Amino acid sequence: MRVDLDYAVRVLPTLLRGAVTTLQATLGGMALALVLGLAFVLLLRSQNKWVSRPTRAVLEFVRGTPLLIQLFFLFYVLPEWGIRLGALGTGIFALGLHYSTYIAEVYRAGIESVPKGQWEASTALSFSRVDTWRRVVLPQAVITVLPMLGNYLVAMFKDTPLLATITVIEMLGAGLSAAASSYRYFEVFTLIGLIFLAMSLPAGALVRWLEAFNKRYA
Amino acid sequence: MTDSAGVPAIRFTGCSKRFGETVVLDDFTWDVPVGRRVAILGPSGSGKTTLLRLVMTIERLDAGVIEVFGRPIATGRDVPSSRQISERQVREVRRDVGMVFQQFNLFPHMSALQNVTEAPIRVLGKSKEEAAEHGRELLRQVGLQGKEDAPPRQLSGGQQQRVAIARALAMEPRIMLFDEVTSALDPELVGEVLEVIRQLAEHSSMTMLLVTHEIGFARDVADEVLFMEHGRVVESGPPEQVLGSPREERTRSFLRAVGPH
Repeated sequence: MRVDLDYAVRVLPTLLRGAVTTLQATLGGMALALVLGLAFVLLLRSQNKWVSRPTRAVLEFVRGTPLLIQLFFLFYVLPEWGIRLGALGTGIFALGLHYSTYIAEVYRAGIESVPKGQWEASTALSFSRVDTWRRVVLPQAVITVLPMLGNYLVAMFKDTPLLATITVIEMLGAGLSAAASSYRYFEVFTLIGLIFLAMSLPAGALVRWLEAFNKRYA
Repeated sequence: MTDSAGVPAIRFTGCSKRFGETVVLDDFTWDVPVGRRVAILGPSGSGKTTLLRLVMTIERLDAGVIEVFGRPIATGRDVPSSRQISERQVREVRRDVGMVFQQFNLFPHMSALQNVTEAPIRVLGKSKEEAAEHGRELLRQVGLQGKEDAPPRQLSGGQQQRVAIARALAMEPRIMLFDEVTSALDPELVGEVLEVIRQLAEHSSMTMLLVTHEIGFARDVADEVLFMEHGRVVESGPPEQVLGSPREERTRSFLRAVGPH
């Protein structure tokens, strides 16, 4: 087998355009997961059993089923219910929903790591519940769990090729259609792997930096 | 309640609190007159810290009522629902009360100054400028000029506790609760914190409850000493009497145990 470097150079722009979509899906999915995860953890911590128990059930259900099945379900069933998000929108929604259930647990760990004295000081200063969460508890909880959130960001990034299965032209989708006509699978998939690696290495470094930052901070 | 002169700063009426099987406060009734400085002594587990935490509404009262300047701040489960108070009322009344904790409980993600200004901005609705100006003044009063931007982790225990005092004072409470504020400090840092409280007692008319093991400090600052055990008052009175010539044998043996002073 000969490696066709010329082809590799020619197909690179196509793959990079796909990489932009990959990034969009990752960042969009992560933003959604961060917000949904917060909503889930607040519902989970509700004093009301009729709120916290169904929330726990939903989280178990989403965590207990494969992301790929969720993607297919949302992609084919949501339009039947009149909800049209488009392929990328559906992908972002599925990634965000799936990962939010893990991120809710990360937040929970972070919230529980905030010492009781912080809540007591907030009471003593007569903070409202909202201010106690917003100004005292969540900032500390999030700083503690930033490295874990970073790990989930990398994990989600590496899950984005699944979106190719619902017709999103991200990196894998772009590569598959290029390889389908050129039969240059080696060049295409090697390049895709290298681009993934090039993007996840800095993210990994960021996570390690956050861990070091936290150690210094604590 | 038209005669406000007669209204105590804090009034405990039939207050009880238990943790599981342990009774930490047992049918406790007591008035703290406005401007009074009370040192609360007693062995650990005597209920003295719980007393402060109940006033601050950090713990829930099982039975009885606590009033602050004539307005209820905490009601026990035995109180009929018509007389229960809303969270909103509690927050309103609670603004009159400030508390300093054994473990400081500063906000680690904020600078010293932010620790002091956060509540006045969020709760009292002060402008940032106004709160910062007052905050700097308070930090100066507790001897921390120049430390405004330092995060708590860069301050010594004594400095952190003084920030905590400034933070409580920033809400301009009429009552201050000090919960064993020097117990977590290295011995050489105790003096600076006690001195700040001494100054505060001298230059303000605030009502103060001080849970402490520092007998000498209690004698200096307090005009009443309350000795508690098992959630009940063993004896109370002026410091020279309770600390100098206690009536009760239990008080005498406690004072002997905590050593010369």
